[in-house]
Amino acid sequence: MEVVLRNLTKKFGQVVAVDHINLEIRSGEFVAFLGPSGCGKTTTLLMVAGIYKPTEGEILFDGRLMNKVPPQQRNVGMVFQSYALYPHMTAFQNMAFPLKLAGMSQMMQAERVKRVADMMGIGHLLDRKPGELSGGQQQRVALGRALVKEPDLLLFDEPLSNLDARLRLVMRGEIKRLQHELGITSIYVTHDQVEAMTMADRIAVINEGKLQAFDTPDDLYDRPKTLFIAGFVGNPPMNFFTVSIRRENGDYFAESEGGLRVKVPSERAEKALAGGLEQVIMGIRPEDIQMDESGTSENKGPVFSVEPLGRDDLIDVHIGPDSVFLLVDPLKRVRLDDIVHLEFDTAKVQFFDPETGKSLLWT
Amino acid sequence: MDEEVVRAPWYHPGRWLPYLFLVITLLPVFVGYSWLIIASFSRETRGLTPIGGFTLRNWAFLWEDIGTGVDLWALSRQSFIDAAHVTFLLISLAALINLLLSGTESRFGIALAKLTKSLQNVRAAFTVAVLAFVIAVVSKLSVMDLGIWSTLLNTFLIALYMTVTVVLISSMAGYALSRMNFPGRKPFLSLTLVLHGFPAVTLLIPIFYVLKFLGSIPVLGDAVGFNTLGGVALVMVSFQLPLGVWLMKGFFDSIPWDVERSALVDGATYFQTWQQILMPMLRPGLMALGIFSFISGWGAFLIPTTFTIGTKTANLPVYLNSLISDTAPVNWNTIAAIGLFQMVPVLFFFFFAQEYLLSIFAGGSKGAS
Amino acid sequence: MATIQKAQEAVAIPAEVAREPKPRKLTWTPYAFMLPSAILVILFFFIPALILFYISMTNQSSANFSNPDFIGLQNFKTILNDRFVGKIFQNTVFYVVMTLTFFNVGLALIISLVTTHIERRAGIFFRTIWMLPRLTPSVVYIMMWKRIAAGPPFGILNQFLAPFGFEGVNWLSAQGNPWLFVILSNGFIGASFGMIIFTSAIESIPKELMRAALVDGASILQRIRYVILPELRWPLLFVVTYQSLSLLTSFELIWLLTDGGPGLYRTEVWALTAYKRALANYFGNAQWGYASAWAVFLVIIGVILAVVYMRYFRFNELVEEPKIEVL
Ligand SMILES: Nc1ncnc2c1ncn2[C@@H]1O[C@H](COP(=O)(O)OP(=O)(O)OP(=O)(O)O)[C@@H](O)[C@H]1O
Ligand SMILES: [Mg+2]
Repeated sequence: MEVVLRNLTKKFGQVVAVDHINLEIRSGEFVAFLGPSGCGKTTTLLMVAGIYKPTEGEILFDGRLMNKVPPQQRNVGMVFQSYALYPHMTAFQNMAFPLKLAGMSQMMQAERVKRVADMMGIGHLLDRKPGELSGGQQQRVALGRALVKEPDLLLFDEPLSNLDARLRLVMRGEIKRLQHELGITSIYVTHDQVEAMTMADRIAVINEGKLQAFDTPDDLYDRPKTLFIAGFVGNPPMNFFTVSIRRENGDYFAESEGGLRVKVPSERAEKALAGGLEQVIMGIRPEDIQMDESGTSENKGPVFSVEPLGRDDLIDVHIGPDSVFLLVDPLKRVRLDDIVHLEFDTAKVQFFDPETGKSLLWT
Repeated sequence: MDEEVVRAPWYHPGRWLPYLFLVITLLPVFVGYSWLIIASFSRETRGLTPIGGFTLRNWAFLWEDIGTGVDLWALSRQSFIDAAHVTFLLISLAALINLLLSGTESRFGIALAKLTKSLQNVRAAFTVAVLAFVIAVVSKLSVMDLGIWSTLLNTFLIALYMTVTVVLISSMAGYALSRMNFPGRKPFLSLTLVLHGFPAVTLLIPIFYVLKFLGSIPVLGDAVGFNTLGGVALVMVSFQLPLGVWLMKGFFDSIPWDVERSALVDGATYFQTWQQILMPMLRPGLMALGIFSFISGWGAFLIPTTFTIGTKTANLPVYLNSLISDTAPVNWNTIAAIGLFQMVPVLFFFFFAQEYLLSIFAGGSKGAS
Repeated sequence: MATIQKAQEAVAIPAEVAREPKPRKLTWTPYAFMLPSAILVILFFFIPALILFYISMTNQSSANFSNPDFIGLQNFKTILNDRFVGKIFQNTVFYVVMTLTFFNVGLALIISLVTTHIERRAGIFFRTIWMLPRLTPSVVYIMMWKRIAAGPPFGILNQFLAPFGFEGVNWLSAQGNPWLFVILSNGFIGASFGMIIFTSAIESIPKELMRAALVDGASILQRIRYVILPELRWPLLFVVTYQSLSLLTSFELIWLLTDGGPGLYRTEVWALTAYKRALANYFGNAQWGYASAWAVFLVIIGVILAVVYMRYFRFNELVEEPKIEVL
């Protein structure tokens, strides 16, 4: 089912929780809503489900205006962050509840629930009440309950945030696989960008109630359209420097006032210069910066901090007033105040207008 | 410092003085109940001292008073036969209607068919039979003079009516006030609060007029007018309502929103959400309010005595009071026995459902701080 | 931003399809849930209040039930000129103040301090016992007090005092002390209300606060004075307002115990007068109009106090908005 949000807005008194969001979700697509806490993701989802009334704007399912259709008639399945299982019902009764309400015969209910439960690997737990299930099992029951009525649209509100890291990984894969097999249009709310990047076909990035971008994970990562997106997507975040671009002998160089100087690909540099800006913001991801062990690079500075992340160490090198974050192999044993030389791989360098925050490369 | 406060030795006054104080202040309560128990099994008492030994004679009201010519065995046999008739007729009627309606297209027809169909499973039929039996017994009893038993029946009916109605109505209103956003919600809420504090007894005089008026309405008047059990119960339900609604609102507030949202998304109507999801989740709260209402209804005196005349509609407290204030010499020992008898359900709940009762008092006075 | 534009273009569906001509349905669901309560409240609170004000300005009595005269404020004048109105007013104030001070607040406070001081389980036990009078049917409860106060040879109090050479007296008679028993019987029920509220307030005082006071070397009395009592300000105010209102309008126990006697209006209170003149007049002439005028005073005070403490104690709780909107 195709879902369209048009100028969708929700105000709670003075607070604007959702601010004129426009989205078009294709049939069968898996879309993630990604944004920091409190940005209005849940509110948007609840409006789609019919729990909240939009203050303004429209929700369309396959071109049908849904604003005034009550939740019962929307045929959506929803998985809540807290699972929201009915504590007085067994897992079976929980999953059969939507079917019972739809007036399905008991035999059909049992059959359908059994099938979905087996698919989710909880067939043996159906007689238990939620209180007697582990978090992961409850999660599956909740998912099963959403799936069992074969909804046209699946809504997930941070369904994995209460699980431990390993289980989260497993469930991530399962949800993605299920969604792919069943082909149900899905909206998946999360503030975990790894989750969004790995699961979604497209990601809607939301900040302070506004839609910042709606793109595929690759586009968001490699072709960020705004400074916000560039800084938000990717962990550790992208490095930004205020630079001016010079042309020397047919090559382009970006120079910061603090003395940072890197060669940039001419194609990108020309685009950055096209607007005639004196200064632009340059963005480079930490993984595109290496330590230059030969010590020939002119970009060097003292190590200001070292943060072990496990597989890598995240180090902060100060070049003049500029802070450069990069990942290094812990075996290199970088220590505080060591002077290190840096090598920049500028193939994926980004440029932004410092005034508007818009990308100078992608529109 | 340690978590455990160091305690003084037992002979230190700080250790036993509090207990002494508590026991002494509670003395009147202990003495009162002791008297009730002693007196109800004695021929006579002087102070707390029984005179002339113990006896069960005081409890004779339980059997002696039963009116002449009532054969409980015959009564129940007849009621059983009546109930069987009614059940059989109802089920056959349901089957017939169902047959006639098969293949109908109209919404009403389908709904009716569903209803009649549901009557044909064993459990529903059994329920109907039991209900019919109870109704038969009660209706037969209600036209007979059974002495204290009819008084008892009245007391029980008032208490039961109170329990069911208060729980049902307050949980409906509590649900709407707690969970739904609608124009008028805030005024309703403030009103509930104001009424919760407002002393309803000051309105007894005009309520007399309201009941008189209700009584003058044909049919309905026989059920809820002045000098009917229904009328008395209705007034008591209304007086209890502000507390009930406020409590239930609090109980509903404690249910996570997602559960209810989930039910709505699953396709439940508001009514179904209330009935199938929220009410079962609130069972302890409902129990608490129910027990509390039962106890208040069971011991109610002021309203029954104000709005009923004579023995036909009297409940136990009214009857008991009439015994005490009769001009004839009072037999305190019989009265004590009846009083103790009246205390039985109260004591039962007091000992076995304390936590429910305490949650009422805690909830009823919530917001104090 | 191209994506958004694309989305907007794609959304440009013909208006007929997008806007189904379904008129906005009136959402009656919440009102359906409110309906039974609303009916009862209207029937037994609002209409009675209106009736009360109206008949208080008539001379309706059992003598002229069907055609009362409208007499304006005449009833109120009569009340103010009543020979006993001063006495009854004094009684009412005395009754409310004494019961409130010594039991509903005083004893309640002491019990909660003591029961939170001793071992937890014992404290709960004693507080539970204190609930018993409140749950006992009023007729049975008063019956016990009557027997405690009864004259010789039946009275229990007299039996206890006999070893000290006390003569013995019917405590509820003019020679005894009827007020003592009116206040005791009401107070033993009233104390449990304050007890519960104070206890929960005391138990919610952070443990660190108490421990800090202990470390500072504060004695028990100092701890009560400087740590506990300041935390009890609001609960105290709440109990005082709430209970003074319920005492002011309560009369059931007095009615059962002394019936306002002995003699002329010895323990008669305002609410009892209002009630008896209309609904329990053994002399046959129920003066509904006149009695309603007595009741009007109580209703007005009741409404004012109820509104006041709703404003001060609970209004903040109302502010929370429901998180589901009826579509
Ligand atoms: N019922 C409500 N009443 C008033 N304000 C609300 C309500 N629900 C949400 N808000 C506000 O709207 C904003 C968006 O809330 P929302 O729950 O949609 O955030 P979210 O993106 O889901 O955050 P999180 O990741 O923490 O769940 C927040 O500022 C929140 O305080
Ligand atoms: Mg959220």
